[in-house]
Amino acid sequence: MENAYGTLSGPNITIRELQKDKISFILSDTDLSVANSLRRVMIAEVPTIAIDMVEIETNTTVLADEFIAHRLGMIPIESTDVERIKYTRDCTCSQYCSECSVELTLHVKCTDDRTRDVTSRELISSNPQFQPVLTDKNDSGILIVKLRKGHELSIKCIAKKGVAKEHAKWSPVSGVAFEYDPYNKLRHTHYWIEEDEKKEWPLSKNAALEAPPDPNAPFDYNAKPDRFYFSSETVGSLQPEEVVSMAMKTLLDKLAYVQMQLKEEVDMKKQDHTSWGY
Amino acid sequence: MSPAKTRTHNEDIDEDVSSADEEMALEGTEDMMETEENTEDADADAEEAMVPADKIEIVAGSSDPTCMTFCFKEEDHTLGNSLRHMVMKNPLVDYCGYSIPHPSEAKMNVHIQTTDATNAVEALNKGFDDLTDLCQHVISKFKKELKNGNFEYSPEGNWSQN
Ligand SMILES: [Zn+2]
Repeated sequence: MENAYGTLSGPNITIRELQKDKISFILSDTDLSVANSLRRVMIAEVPTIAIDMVEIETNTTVLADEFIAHRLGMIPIESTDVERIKYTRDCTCSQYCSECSVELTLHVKCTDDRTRDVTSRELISSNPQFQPVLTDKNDSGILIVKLRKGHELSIKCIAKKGVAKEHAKWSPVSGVAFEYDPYNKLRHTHYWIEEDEKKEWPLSKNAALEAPPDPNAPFDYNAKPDRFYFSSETVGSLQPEEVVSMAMKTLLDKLAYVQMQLKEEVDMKKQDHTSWGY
Repeated sequence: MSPAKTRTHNEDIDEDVSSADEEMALEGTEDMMETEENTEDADADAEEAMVPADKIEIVAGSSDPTCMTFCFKEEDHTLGNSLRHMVMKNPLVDYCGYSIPHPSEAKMNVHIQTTDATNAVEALNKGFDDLTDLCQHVISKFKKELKNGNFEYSPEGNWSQN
C-alpha cells in the first residue's frame, strides 16, 4: 500500500489475544507517530454513550444530588450502535431528543428494614440497544447508592454521545498499554537505578518476542522503533476489536474532514488573489 | 421492553422537553444538573460555534508557495505527529515540523518547506492522502487478522474471575 516511496508493504497487525474485555496486538512496520495516534484515538476519540444530564425528582438518600449524578455518568452503557445516535450539536433539536440521546429512568424506594442496594441494573433504558453494561446474567450491576427504610431515589437520566476528549466517562477503554523496544536498544528510556539496571528493571514479557541485543555492538543512532505492543482493556461499552476498528475509522473521518477544510481554505485564498488581479 | 412501548415513551420525552424549563421554575422541586460543570460546557459550545469558519488557516508570511505554515484549530498530536511523519516521507519535501504553541489554545501549527518541484499545499495534500491510505491499509489488515483467527480467543475473558 505504501509503495509510493518504494518502502515496505505497509504496516502489519498481528492479534495475539482477544477476550471479551481485552485485546492484545502488535502493530509493526510503521512509525512511532502513527502507532501513537492509534493509541491516542483509542483512548480519547472513539465515541460512546454515557449519562450526561440527570433530572432528580426525589432524592432522600444519604448521597447528595451531585454525587449521584457523577456516579451515574461513570456507568458504562452498551454502545455498539453508537453510530445510530447523533451528537446533540449536529441535531436539529434544542436540548435533546430520541435521535441524539437515550433516556434512562430509575425509581427505587426502600420499604424494608434491610439495607437496599441500588445498582445500574435498575436503570430502565428508553432504547433497548443502549443498556447499562452487564457482564453476564449473574452480574449484580454497578452499585449506585445504598438505601435505608424510607429512603427514595427517583431520577431521569439523559445519556448522550460523546468522546473522552471532552470527559473521560466517554472513553471505551480503561487503559491502553503501549510498549516498544523492550530491550531499550534505542535508549529512549533512562532507567533510574541504585546499583544494577538488569536486577532492578526486569524485562517485560514482550522481550521474548525480540532478539536480545549484542552487548558488544555499537549504539545504532539511526535505528527507529518499528514494532509496537498494544494491549487494551475495555470498560464494556464496546467490544475490544470494535475499539480498534472504530479508532482507525475515527482517524480516517478526521483526515477526510481536515483535508476538505484545507481545500476550502486554499480555494478561498485563490479567489481572494484573483479578485485583486493577481 | 417492547419496541412499541419505546416509541410512545420517546414521544413523551419530546413533550417534556418544551415544558421542562417552566416546570422547574414553577415547582422548584426538580433539580436539573449535569454530571460536569455547566460553565465548561458553555465555553465548549462557544468554541465549537467558532471553529468551522476556518478549521485551517494559512498563516501569513512570505508569498513563497514552497514555504508555508498551516494553523489547524482543535487538532493536537494525534493528527500533528503522524501528519508530520507522512509529509516528511515525501522526497520532494525538504522539511516538515509541527508544534502546539500553547497548551490552553487548541491550535496546532504545521510548517512545510518543499523543493521547487512541488509546493507546500500539494505536499500537505499528499500527506493527507498517504496517511488515509495507511489507515485504510491498517483497517483491512486488522479485519483480515480478525477473520483468520490465528490468536488466543476466549469470549468469556476474565469477567467472572473478578
Ligand atoms: Zn436531538
